[in-house]
Amino acid sequence: MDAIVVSDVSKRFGSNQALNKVNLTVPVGEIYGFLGPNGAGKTTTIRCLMDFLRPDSGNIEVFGNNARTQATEVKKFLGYLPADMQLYDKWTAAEHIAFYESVQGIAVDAEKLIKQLDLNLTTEARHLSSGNKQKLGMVLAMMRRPKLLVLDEPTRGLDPLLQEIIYTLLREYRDAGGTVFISSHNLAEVEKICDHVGIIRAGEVVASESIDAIRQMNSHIVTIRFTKPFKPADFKADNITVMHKTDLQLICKVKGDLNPLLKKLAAHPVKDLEITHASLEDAFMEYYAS
Amino acid sequence: MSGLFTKELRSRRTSALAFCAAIFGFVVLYISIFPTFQKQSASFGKIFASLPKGFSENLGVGLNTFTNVQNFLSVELFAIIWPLIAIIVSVSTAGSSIAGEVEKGTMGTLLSLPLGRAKIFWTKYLVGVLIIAAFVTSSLIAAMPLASLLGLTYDVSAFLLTALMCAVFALCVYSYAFLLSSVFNEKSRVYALAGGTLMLMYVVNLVSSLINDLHFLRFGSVFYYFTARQTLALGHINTANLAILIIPVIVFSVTGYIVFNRKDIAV
Repeated sequence: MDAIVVSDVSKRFGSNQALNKVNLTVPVGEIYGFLGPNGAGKTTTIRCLMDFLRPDSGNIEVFGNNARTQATEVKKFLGYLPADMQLYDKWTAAEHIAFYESVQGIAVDAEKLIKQLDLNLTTEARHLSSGNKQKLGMVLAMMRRPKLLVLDEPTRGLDPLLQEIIYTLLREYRDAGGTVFISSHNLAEVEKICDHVGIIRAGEVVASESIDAIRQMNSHIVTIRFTKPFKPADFKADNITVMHKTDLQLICKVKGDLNPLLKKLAAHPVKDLEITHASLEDAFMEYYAS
Repeated sequence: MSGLFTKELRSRRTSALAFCAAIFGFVVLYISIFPTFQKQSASFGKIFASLPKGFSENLGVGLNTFTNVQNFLSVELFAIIWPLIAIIVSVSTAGSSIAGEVEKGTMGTLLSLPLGRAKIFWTKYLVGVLIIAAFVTSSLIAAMPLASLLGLTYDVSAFLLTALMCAVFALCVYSYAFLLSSVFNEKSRVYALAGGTLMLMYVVNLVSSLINDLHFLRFGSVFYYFTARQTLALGHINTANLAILIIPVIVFSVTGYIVFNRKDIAV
C-alpha cells in the first residue's frame, strides 16, 4: 500500500484552474519532495490532502483511507506543518503541546524533539521568532510519531544550522519507517534529503520519479578541453546543446545517450574530459522550459 | 472533544466574564436605585401617560412602571441596555468562533487535528450557548437574590420566564451571527452584517409601531417577538413569540453547520 495516492484531482478557483487532474503516488518509508514555483499548485494539493479544500473532482487516499470522507481517521496518523504556521498568540509552546495532547493523546517524542530543537517552552507564541515558531510547528507535527508527515515548505526562512537539524530529524524519521511529503521550491534541499520528487507546473504534475531517475533520465553536463582548436560544427547533434565554448574548450548539455558525442570526440585530440549528471535544478528548469 | 471544549472556554473566559460582570453591575445599580424611584411612582406615571402611545409602548413605560421591581427592570434594563449588551455578546462570540479563527489562520491548526468539522462547529457553538446562559444568569437569575437582599418582593416565575425569553432571543441573534461566521472568512464582515441587520430590524420595529400603515413590517423584526419586558412585568410569556424565535435558532445553526462542513478553508 502506498502512503498517498492522488488520482485525477482537479480544483478550480473561479477562472483559475489551480489543479488539473493531478496524479501522484508517495511510497511508504520515503521522503517525497513536491517541487514547483509559487502558484504552481503545491499548497493547493496539500490543502486538498488535508481536507481544508474540497477537490472539484478526483480522489485522494492516505494509507488506503479517503482523505475527504475519512478525514478524521487520516489525521490520527498524520502530522502536518503548514507553510505559515499560525499559533495562538497568548499560548506558550508548552500550552500548544498540551492542547495537541488533549486532542490526540500522549506525545511520545515531545521531550526528545524539544531537546533536539532547543525549543523555548515558556514564551508566548506572539513573542516567538519565525524560526522558533517553525521549531514549535515541527514538534507539534512530529511529537506523537505519526505514520505520515505533510510539510509545506518547512525550512522557509530558517537559518542553515536549523535547516540541517530539521533534515537530520526527517532522515531519522524516514529511517524509522515514517513517510514524508514535503513541498518546497528549494531545489538543493529536495536534492539533499528526498528519495522521490514530483514536479508540478501550472496545476499539472509533469514528473514524478526517484531523485536518481530524474537526474539520469535527463541530461549530462560534458566539459571537454582540447589540445588544439576544434570546429563546433563537428559536435552538432539533436541531443547536444552547446552551453559555452572557447577555442580550446566546449561545455555542452547532452540529453539522453552519450555515445554519439563520445564517437565524435574520438576524432579529436582531447586533453581532458569531465562528465557530470545534470543537477535537479537543471532537470527542473528543463521541465519548466518545455 | 474535551480538549477543544476547554480551549474554547479558556479563550473566551475573559470577555465572557467582562460581559457578565457588566450586566450584573447594571442589575445591581437598577435594583439599588429602585426604592428611590418607587417613592415617586405616582408623579412619573403621570409623565409617562402624557407620552404618545407608540412611543410609550416602545419604551415600555406607563402608570405602573415604578410600582414594583419587575416593572422597573423591564423598563430600565430591557428597553435598550440588556438587548444591546446581549447582541454584542452574541455577535462577538459568534464572529470570533469561526471567521475569527479562519482569519487568524488558527483554524488550520484545528482542522489538522483528528477532530472533524462537526465537532469543531458544534463544540464552538455550545461554548457560545454556555456564555449566553451565563450572561442571562448574571442578569435575571442574579437579580432575585439581590432584590431579596433589599427586601423587595418579586415574582420568581416572571424572572424565570423572562430568562427563558431572553436566552432564546440571544440564541437567535447568536445563531444568525454564527451562520455569518461560517460563511465569511473575516470577523469584521460578520460584525458589520449582523450589526447592520439588527439595527435595520430595530428601526423597522420602531417605525412600524409609530406608523399605522407600516404595522405589518414589525412581523419581519426579531425585536417584535422579543417580549421580555412584558414577560417580566406581567409574569406571562407569549409562547407564540417564543416559538417564532426558536425557529431561526434551529434554521441558522443547522445551515451554519452545513456551510462550514462544505466550505473550502484556505488556511
